[in-house]
Amino acid sequence: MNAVDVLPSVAGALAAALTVLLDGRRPILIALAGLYLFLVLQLAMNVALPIALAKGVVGAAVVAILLRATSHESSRTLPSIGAIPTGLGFRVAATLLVLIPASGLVGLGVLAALPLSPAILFGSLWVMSLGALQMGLSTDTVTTTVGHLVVLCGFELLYVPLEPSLLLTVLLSAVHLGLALLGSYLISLSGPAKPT
Amino acid sequence: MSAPLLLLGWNAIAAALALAIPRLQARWHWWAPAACVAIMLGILILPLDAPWEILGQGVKLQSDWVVLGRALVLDGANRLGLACLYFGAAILFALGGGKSSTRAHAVSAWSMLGLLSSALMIHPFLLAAVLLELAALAGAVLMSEEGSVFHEASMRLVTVATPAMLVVLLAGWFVETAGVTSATPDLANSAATLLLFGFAILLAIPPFHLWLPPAVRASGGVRPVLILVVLQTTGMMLALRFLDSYDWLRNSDQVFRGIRLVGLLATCVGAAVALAETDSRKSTVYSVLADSGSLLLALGLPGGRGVPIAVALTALRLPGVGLATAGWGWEAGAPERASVWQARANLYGRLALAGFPLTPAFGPKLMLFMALSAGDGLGFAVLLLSSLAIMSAALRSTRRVDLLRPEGVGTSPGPVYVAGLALGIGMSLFPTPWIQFLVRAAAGLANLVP
Repeated sequence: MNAVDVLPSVAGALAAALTVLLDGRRPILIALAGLYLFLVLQLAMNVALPIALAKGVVGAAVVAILLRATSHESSRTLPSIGAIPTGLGFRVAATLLVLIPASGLVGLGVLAALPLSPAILFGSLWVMSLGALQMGLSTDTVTTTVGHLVVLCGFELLYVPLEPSLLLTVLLSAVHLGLALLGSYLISLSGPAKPT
Repeated sequence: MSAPLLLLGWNAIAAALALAIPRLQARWHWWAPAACVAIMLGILILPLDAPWEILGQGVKLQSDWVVLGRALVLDGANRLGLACLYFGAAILFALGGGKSSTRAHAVSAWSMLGLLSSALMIHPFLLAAVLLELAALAGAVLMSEEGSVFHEASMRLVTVATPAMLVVLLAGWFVETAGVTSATPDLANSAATLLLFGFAILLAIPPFHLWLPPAVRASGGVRPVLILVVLQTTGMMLALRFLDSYDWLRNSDQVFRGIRLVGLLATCVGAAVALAETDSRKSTVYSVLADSGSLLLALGLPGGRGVPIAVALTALRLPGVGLATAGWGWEAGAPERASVWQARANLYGRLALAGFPLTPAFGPKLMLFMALSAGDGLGFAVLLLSSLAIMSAALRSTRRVDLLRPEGVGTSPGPVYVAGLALGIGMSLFPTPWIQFLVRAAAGLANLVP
């Protein structure tokens, strides 16, 4: 594997990292849109174009649903997370600390048995670990939902080349849309944020 | 007509009725259980792939329904699982008490049951993982609370269910595409580890799903337990189908040792925390988690000889779980004990979780004790201690309630609790027909239940 092979994975990880590092719901959703774009490009290169395009349509719908749900939000700042520090410095450090062990997982255990290139495995693990980090750091419905979606995108980078089935693509797309609709529904139920 | 389509259609009609007729919410604890029982009887009784007559008209129900090239099949391998799913839901709907708090909750409950039914029926199994995730999303709506700033229970349910989907999908790829057999031990170990991890999440083995006990207190009482019970029942039945379908899995001592180890862990942790917990509702949920460990102890008996016990326990524990949560209501702040009959039902249900005599699960628990005493001293000791711990916790929680008081406060429907207690005691006094029926119904798992 040379450095050029891994460049697309770095781009994906960067989009996923932005969902953790950015402040404010709209910028995070724009970063999520970037991640979906990366997913479409990766799948177009490694699987069939129609599947990649379907993912693109689903990604656009997901981002549109969440943008619509947050359109009434006046505040651009995310709620504080109680005892967990939320400063940019902390999030940068947490992002780097997560990426290092995630990189070490390539070639270990179950992953070693998968017939995929290391570049795809790196990209998938980086994106999934950053999504998990986002979920762990969030107590906000939108960002937690984004964390779930990032994990799913990372998993599909790895899984769709293994199992490019149409029905599975449809079902996984339903999970993406279901998550977005759930997030949107929960936001609609939310009361005013309490001062922290 | 197709049986899977009919089954899912029933769910869709129930969800549509709940959505369209707001007045039905007030009578939720009557019509929802009745609909579940009707579905359960349909699953168990209706003949499939054979002509029969209704009102002089010839009818033939096909066992399969093909969607996008994949089949949903209602057959002997999943009939029992589906029946247990609706039996558990009926009991919790009936005994949970009160109206469903919002129409969204009612619709999501029916959607969740429909998706779990699809997960049990779909071929190949691999796709069940995604349907379980979609069911968890419906469950997350069921856990939502209006006015909450962060819907912690909903989000944590999805957070726990997502890794289960990912690992089961990956395991499914190993099993179906990578060609795992007994001759490929490395691949088989990888797939078995992934499956064990995925099913441990579905079966709510600690530390997974520890959001449930606080959720019981923070949000609607019976809703988290409903999610726990239907997910566990579906997870257990899918695990049985996996074991039944693959020789390499069924013949691996390592797999059964792993299941036993996870069962020991769940039993120990659940019972210890149930005993330590002073909040009676949280303690009840930990008791349910400990009880689910006993299912795995049965399933983990070497060579799969505990499968009939596991099947019987999966079904016969459901009245106990329902009675233990009787009257908790769908909304937060429901009265702790509205009537003396409810208190009696709660105590009986919690004793049933411990496998106490005169409770439905006593028979299969006794069979499990006997099986464990034959060669697994540690398992026997852990199960005995956990039963004692669950019993102590139950008796401690009800110590301050006068169970002999002729009438209680509040207006909870006593007849429901009386009927629940009568069902439980009746099943315990005449266990043989139930156990025989369950083992016969499990005959579709031909490789596991000879």
